[in-house]
Amino acid sequence: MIFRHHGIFSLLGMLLVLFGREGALVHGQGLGLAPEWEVRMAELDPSRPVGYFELAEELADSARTQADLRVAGHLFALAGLLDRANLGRSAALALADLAEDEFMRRRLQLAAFLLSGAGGGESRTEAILEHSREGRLGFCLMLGAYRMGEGARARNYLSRADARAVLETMSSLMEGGRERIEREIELYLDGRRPRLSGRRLEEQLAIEMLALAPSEMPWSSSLLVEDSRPLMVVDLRRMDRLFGNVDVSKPFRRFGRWVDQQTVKNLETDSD
Amino acid sequence: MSARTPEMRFLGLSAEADDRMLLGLDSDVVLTRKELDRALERRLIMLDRHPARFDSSAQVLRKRLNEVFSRFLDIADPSDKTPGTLAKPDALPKEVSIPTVRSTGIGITPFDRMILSILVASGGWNAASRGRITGLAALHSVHPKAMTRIMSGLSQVLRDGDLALPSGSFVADSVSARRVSEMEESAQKLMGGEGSSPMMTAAMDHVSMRLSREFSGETPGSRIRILIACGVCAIILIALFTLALSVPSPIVTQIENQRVKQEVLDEELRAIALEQQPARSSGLIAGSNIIEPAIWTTRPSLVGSTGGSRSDASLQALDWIEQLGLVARKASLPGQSSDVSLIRTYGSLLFDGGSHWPLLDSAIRQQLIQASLRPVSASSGMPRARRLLDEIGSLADKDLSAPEASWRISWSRGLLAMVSGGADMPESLRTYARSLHSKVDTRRSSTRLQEDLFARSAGVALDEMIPDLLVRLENDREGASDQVESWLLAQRALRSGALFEVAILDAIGDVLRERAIIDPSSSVVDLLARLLGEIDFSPRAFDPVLVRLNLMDWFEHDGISSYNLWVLGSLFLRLGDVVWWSDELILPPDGDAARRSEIADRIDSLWPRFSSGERPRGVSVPSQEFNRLEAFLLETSGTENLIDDVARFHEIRIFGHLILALERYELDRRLEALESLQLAESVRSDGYRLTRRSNELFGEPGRSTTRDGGWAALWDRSRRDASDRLEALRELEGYEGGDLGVQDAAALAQVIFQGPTPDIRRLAQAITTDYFSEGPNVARALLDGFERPRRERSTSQFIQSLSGRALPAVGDDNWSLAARRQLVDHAFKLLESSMHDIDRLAAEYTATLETRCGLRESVSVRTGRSASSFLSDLVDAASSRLEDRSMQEPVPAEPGELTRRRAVRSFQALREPQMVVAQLFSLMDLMCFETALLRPDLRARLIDRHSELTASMAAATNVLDQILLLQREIARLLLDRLEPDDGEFG
Repeated sequence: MIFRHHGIFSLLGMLLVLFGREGALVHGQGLGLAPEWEVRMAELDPSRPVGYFELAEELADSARTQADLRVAGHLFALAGLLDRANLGRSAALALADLAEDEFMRRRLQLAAFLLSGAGGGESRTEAILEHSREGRLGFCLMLGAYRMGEGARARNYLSRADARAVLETMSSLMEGGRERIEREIELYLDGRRPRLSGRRLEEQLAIEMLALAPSEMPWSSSLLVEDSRPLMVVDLRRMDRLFGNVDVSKPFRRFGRWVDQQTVKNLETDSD
Repeated sequence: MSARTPEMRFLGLSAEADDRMLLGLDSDVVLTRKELDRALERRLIMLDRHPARFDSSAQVLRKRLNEVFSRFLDIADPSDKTPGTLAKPDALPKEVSIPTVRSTGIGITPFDRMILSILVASGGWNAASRGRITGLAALHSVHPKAMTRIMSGLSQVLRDGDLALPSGSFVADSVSARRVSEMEESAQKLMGGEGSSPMMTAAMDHVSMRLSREFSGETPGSRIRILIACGVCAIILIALFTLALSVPSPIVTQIENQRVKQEVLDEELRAIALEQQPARSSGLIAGSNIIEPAIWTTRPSLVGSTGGSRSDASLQALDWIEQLGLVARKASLPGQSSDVSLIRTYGSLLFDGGSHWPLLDSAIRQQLIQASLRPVSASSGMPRARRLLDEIGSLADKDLSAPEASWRISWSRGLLAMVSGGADMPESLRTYARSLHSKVDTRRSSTRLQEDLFARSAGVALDEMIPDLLVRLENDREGASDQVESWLLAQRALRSGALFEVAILDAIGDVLRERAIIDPSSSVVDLLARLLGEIDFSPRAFDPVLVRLNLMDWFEHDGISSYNLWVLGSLFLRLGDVVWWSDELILPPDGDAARRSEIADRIDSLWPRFSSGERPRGVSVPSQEFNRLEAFLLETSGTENLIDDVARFHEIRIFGHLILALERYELDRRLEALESLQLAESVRSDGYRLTRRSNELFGEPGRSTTRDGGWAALWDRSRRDASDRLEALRELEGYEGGDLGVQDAAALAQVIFQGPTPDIRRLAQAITTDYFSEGPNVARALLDGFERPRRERSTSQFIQSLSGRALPAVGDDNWSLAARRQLVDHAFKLLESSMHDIDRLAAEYTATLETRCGLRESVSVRTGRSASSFLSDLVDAASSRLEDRSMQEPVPAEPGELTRRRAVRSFQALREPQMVVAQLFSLMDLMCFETALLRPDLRARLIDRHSELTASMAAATNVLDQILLLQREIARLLLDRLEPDDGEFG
């Protein structure tokens, strides 16, 4: 009887290892992770969330692959979710460092601010205002010359570093970006005017408004240049989503997989 | 009876009093200089204090006193050598002993003698004599110049030795000469003559002399003039006095009225105080600040009855209308032998109609009014018409004791007003009708309430009946109760809703003012109770703000006694209909103005914004309107179907009006709220219309009506000749205005900015302003051609004329940027684009926010601001409202935390749309907190909703969707604060 039970639990353990590896593959975890990390992760105790955070820092520092970083991110997230009051902000900032895209990084930083209990942080400033007056005017004159089909003159304006820097800043707001306008400048050198769609003309006028006086933008132009981008809002009640859909109910690492308390108990019972 | 002697009059001595008695010296007193000085001083003081001190008898007595003083000095104790005392008489020349005018011929007036006597009595020229002489000069109104002359003259006399004084101080020796000079100087200083210029002095002397002559009456002419002047003054004074007595000023009248009223009040209060129990008379409950209210064993009430049924009256009215038609036909026929029968029939029908009109429904009543007027308007002759009008006028005087008297009076007044104000009536009839009825007053309580002519005049007649009803009530309670019932029925027939409310509030005010003291046991209290029962002193009233203001105004009205307000407060307490009324609002019967203001303020603060009950409830809103609001909100549930930003902004605009309506409901502004709700509904049903401005302005947009490039070629050809250039430009004036083709526009733009001469540039600019300022192609060409413009004032003015906005000076570093920006704006404005719709909708949304700011009194409203700044003000106002409020488990968080979140979001926001979201989010947070405070029963629901909203906000992909989500939640939060009410609303 004992033998039969032992056989069943061995089978369960094998399945867990199998699914654990598959699960890890799905989540990009575990693959190539050194065994000593697995051992250390298996020793983590959710009643001591700081242990997760410390291990995550070590792992992130010594990470050699994206997979290592993803596991570190998971550990940071678990630390922040297990002790939101003390580790939530630090976890958000750590995850912001690991974030691959700018938008996610900003969201996590915002969450960190909200969790910190401190002030609002730094105000977002108009990047355009960091450019010189001459650069901004030169950029606008370049657009005017382009619209008139005077590519050479437009190119001439862009040869100035300050005007080109403005174009770089505005690139993300323009249809086709910097590349398109540079390409088209070369096409219209003989006074033949480019055919601009209504949308592109609206966009260019809005961009000129932004370059010349960003604080006096009408609603329509603001919406156009920002593409109606929403205000970044962080829902702190759903931090698990913000932290990468980490399931905080599964803080135990067993056989390369994150499991819940019940599973751990079952496994412990089996081993007994 | 002999006249009183000066001694008796001024000193209380008989005429026989000896010299010692005259100076007040006892017989045993040793006559020393000092003693004599004191004695004379005392007597002179007594004399100077007397009201008749200027009388001639006073002068006589002064003279006598001085003589006695001098005589005694002669016999005074020679051993007395105190400093300042007179030398022994022996040492003085004999003639000096008598201070009389010497034989020099110099005239010494009594005034001079008075001065001399003072000098003598004061021991010469010193501080005491100086003060006394100054006082004397002031008493006699002696001009400083004249006084100086007097003193100079006297000193001259002394120098010349023409006058001997019994004093060593004023002997004509070298020592005394210095003192005399000193005296002159001091006199000059004292009299203010120092420092005057000689010319001024001469002029003053001249004027003074002329005046002296004129007023001394030396010549017959001057005497006559003085007499005439005195006569005129007397007449004027008499006239003024008469006027003052017979025609008192309004202020005096008011003060007098108040005084009389106060006296009456005091008397009555005293009388009542005597009748009342001792405990009540004090008004104050021992050991507390609570005033003991008046106590009624039975609930004060007044219920009467009105005769006749509505259905019977309606049936009869149809008959009367028919008969009045017959009367009108007869009245229109000329040459009837006698009008007596006609007039009598008309009078009878008027009486019937006037005795029943409040029982008729409004349609039949209107028919009856028109039928009653028709005989007058159709009457064939003026005398007949006047007799008919007399019948209307006399209706008001018939059977005044009947319950329907108020109906007839108001009926009469209403019909006369219809005649006097009827455009189809002859002017002479209108004038006659006006003479028959008194003026029509405007309503006191509210000017914004509109009534038709009949209702207005008849209503005013009813309003004026309160004093008469009070008298009748006090004389015959039972009979008058029917009259009150009829009066109320007539008011209801004429007015409903807020209009009826105003009429009753005015009536209550009249009752409180009409009687200085309302006896708690009198039937006036019953009437007051009845009237109070007609008003809902709560947010459920038709016009809650007006009800509250009326109530507060009674406590601050000078014409209403504190006693009556004590009765009123007690009545509220006894009736128990006003649930928020408490003991602390009972004014003491003798409460002063400060206490009254205090209670008025207390009423303001206690006035419920939310009706109270077993559970917290929202502001009551008529069910029908609440349902409209709720349905409206439900219809705008999703953002999925919004195809673009214009559609989104259209929804935002609708919510802007809806939120305005909800806020107005919350702030007891029902009428304005209804307007906003209707606007929101109509905006929704109308949908949004795109602004296609170019079509309306110049046909097909962006197209020239002439062949493109023609003018550019012409200009190109004319380049070498100045006159050709001007001619080429003038050629443009012949073009059909509006716009040019792309090539022509580009050529023109180049001339405008780069033209060869200033004249050419200015002409091109002027032509463009006049003919092509609305042309999209020209606008784009100007923008694209603005490369290296000459920094000229004319160019700057040209650009400003296009944009309508000011530019910095041409030398300013920012000029190029600002000028180009204005050209961009100009080109953008003429662009055919739905972007203009967004900006138009944004402006409308901003306007609703501005109005919301205006609703919150703590928010200062400045026009021309952005939506986010208005929202920021609203957030500030909400924050300050909630500053000291706390909740055990706050939803969504404590105000402090919400403030922090606001800062975080604001820092994240870039540009206006996101800034609006940041502020709107904070406003929603605070409103959620506030709603949870007001409606704890909704707490769980609020938590869920806030969570859902935050999740939606985080997931939103469009900033306008975020605004919509927040607006919708704000609208729901406001709706949570309202409560449907099935009560009677107008």
